[in-house]
Amino acid sequence: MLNFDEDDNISFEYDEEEEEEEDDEEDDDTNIEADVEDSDDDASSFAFESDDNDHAENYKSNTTSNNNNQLDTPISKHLRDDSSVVGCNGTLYLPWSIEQFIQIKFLDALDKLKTFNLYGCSDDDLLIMLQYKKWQQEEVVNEFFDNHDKFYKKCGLLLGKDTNNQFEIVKNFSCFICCEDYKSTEVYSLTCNHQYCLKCYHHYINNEINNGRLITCIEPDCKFVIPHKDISHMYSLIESKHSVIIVEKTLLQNPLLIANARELINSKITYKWCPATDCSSFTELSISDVSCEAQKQSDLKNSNDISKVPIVGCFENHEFCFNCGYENHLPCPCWIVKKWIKKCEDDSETANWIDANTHTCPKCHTSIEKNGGCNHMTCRKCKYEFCWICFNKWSEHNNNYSCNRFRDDQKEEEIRRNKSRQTLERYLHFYKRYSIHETSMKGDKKTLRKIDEVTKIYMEDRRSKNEINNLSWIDIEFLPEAMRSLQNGRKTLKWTYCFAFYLASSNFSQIFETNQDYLNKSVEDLSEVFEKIMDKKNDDKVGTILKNKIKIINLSELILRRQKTLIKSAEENLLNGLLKFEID
Amino acid sequence: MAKPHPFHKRLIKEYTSIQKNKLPGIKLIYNDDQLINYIFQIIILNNEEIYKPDVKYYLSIIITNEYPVDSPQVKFISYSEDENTELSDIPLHPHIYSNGHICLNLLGEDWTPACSIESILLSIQSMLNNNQLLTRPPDNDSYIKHAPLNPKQSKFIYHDDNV
Ligand SMILES: [Zn+2]
Ligand SMILES: [Zn+2]
Ligand SMILES: [Zn+2]
Ligand SMILES: [Zn+2]
Ligand SMILES: [Zn+2]
Ligand SMILES: [Zn+2]
Repeated sequence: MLNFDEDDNISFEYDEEEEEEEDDEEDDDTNIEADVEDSDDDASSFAFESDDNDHAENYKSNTTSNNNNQLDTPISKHLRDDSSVVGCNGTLYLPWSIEQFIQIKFLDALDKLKTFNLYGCSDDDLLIMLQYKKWQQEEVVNEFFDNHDKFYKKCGLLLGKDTNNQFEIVKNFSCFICCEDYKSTEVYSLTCNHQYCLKCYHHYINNEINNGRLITCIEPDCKFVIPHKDISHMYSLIESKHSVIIVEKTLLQNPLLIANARELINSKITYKWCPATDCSSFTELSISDVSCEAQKQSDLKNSNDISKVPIVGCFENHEFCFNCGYENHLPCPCWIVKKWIKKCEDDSETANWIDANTHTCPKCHTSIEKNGGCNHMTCRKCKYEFCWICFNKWSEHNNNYSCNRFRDDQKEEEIRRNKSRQTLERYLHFYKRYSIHETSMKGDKKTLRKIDEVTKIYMEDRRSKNEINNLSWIDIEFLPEAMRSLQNGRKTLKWTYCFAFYLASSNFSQIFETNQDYLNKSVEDLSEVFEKIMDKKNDDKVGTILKNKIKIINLSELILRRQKTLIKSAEENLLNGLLKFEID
Repeated sequence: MAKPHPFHKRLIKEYTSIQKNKLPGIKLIYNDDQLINYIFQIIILNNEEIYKPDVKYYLSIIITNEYPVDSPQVKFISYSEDENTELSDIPLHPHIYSNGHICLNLLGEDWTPACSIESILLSIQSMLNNNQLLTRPPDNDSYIKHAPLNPKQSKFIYHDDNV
């Protein structure tokens, strides 16, 4: 899914293309590969030789004015295009990848420090000094010229003498740490010549790496510091243990720099990690005044104004709420989300019986497993068509999509008597729908991933046969858009059940439910179209995609419209008090 | 039987060394087959003004799964070797809490895999030998109220070393 729109901007409403819940690794791999390719060009930064480093060029603009406070400079200054991105609620933000962060905060500082020509310092030394001084290159320069002898010592470096750090293979070696006697093994030592086996060193560094300090020789009281480059090399050696080719890690992939970056990112409230599983990017809120932002956040705490929910996107285009750190949970305000999540956790046992994946057919009782996302089910055996959520005949609620509503038909008195049972049933009604759509999101995603593969294989095939004119990318350009709209539509739908659970019933709550029904219907319709395309029996999948193009485009636009309508009307009616939450 | 510790060889080596080079005043009185749990008896020989040389203290050392990359779990315990003796005390020391937890750099920041059970014993012994004050750490009361059972889960702010 990611592959279609490399040039897409992350800036607009509902423009997300991936879902948070990652159950499969496959699709994100494409991205990672792309990153690796990029940074291969950056091998130069590892060797410290060349200046024509892609990343450096890309992010380097405009750094000179911010010498004093490198880490606190607004990063907008460093990004390829200077400007923040605007989220669907008008929140200004900047998506970051860890690599970008390392490049701009660490490696650019190194480049700049190099221009000072600090006498006798290798690039290894400079990196160590920079990390020691928390990446403030001005302070490195000052302290160096102040008393370089002392500064060198403080950093665990050796002045004037060449370092003699060694990776070597040694025969008949007894490692003091693991007490193994090796016939022949790889060992590492710093200038002090304290040798330990590579495995123990790797173990040791892995344990030390997260405390943000420079890492010294294993020997107690030995102050020699392990250079970043050696850490990269050591990890490369260990990780490629069983293969002939050693893939060298660049500085952008350096474990110590990554750990250091993580720590800095964690320590600032204007940064937040993307909550999507398997996503390691983070987002920075573009704000001028932190205290004002803190005020805004505390205002949000109990606010029903969902137009203020700070929805942001990450580097991989996942949308999430910067305030509470969850995925985009509109139309719910943050405080409702918090309550809901807490309730779901507390009641997880009661809700356990809801198995979103297997059921029996309501007519013939054959056990049915659901793989895709669509909730319109057809029993393979008796062909009975029913709704996975309410078990009614599908045709019965095609026009009047009433399976979302919780209706209690009991008499007043009975209700009072059964109050607690009633509450539980009500909760389970909404929780079931919430969790089914969550599961369906994963199902949809699987289907979409397959479609993605099929079209790619098809295109490759055409290309290799020079039949390029038969189908061009332009012909299927509508697909990623439609996929995104399905995923985001389903996500909004999922959150409407949390919303509805807390909603006090009124005429306006019925409007909400109607909007919910509409969105529900178009989401299921599109989901079904995609699922049918990928049906095993269909052997012209790409053909079916093209045949259904108009239908897919229409449905995806419909989802988008209905999603917006739902959120907009919820927003307005919450503000003017026509919709109210009822919390017991 | 439980899986042997990943650094079993190292543990054997340390154990053998502890048996061989007896440290004065320190006696290993218990260990399990896995060489994971140890109890040492400690008497303080060179600080008679502060500690009576006939008083026995007991130190429990538990090797974690991450040992030796990570330090073991170390604390003083109330213990008695037979039914007729009373439970031992926790030694009074400005770095030793009344629940037996010890605030010692070596067990935290200064630990490296090249340190050993013996280096811990030596360092604790010297800490007691050099002590001049029969007091608990200043934050003893508040610490023990909330302290976890495992001292490794406490984040000690190391008191100044010149006590
Ligand atoms: Zn070793
Ligand atoms: Zn050394
Ligand atoms: Zn993400
Ligand atoms: Zn939120
Ligand atoms: Zn059936
Ligand atoms: Zn239904």
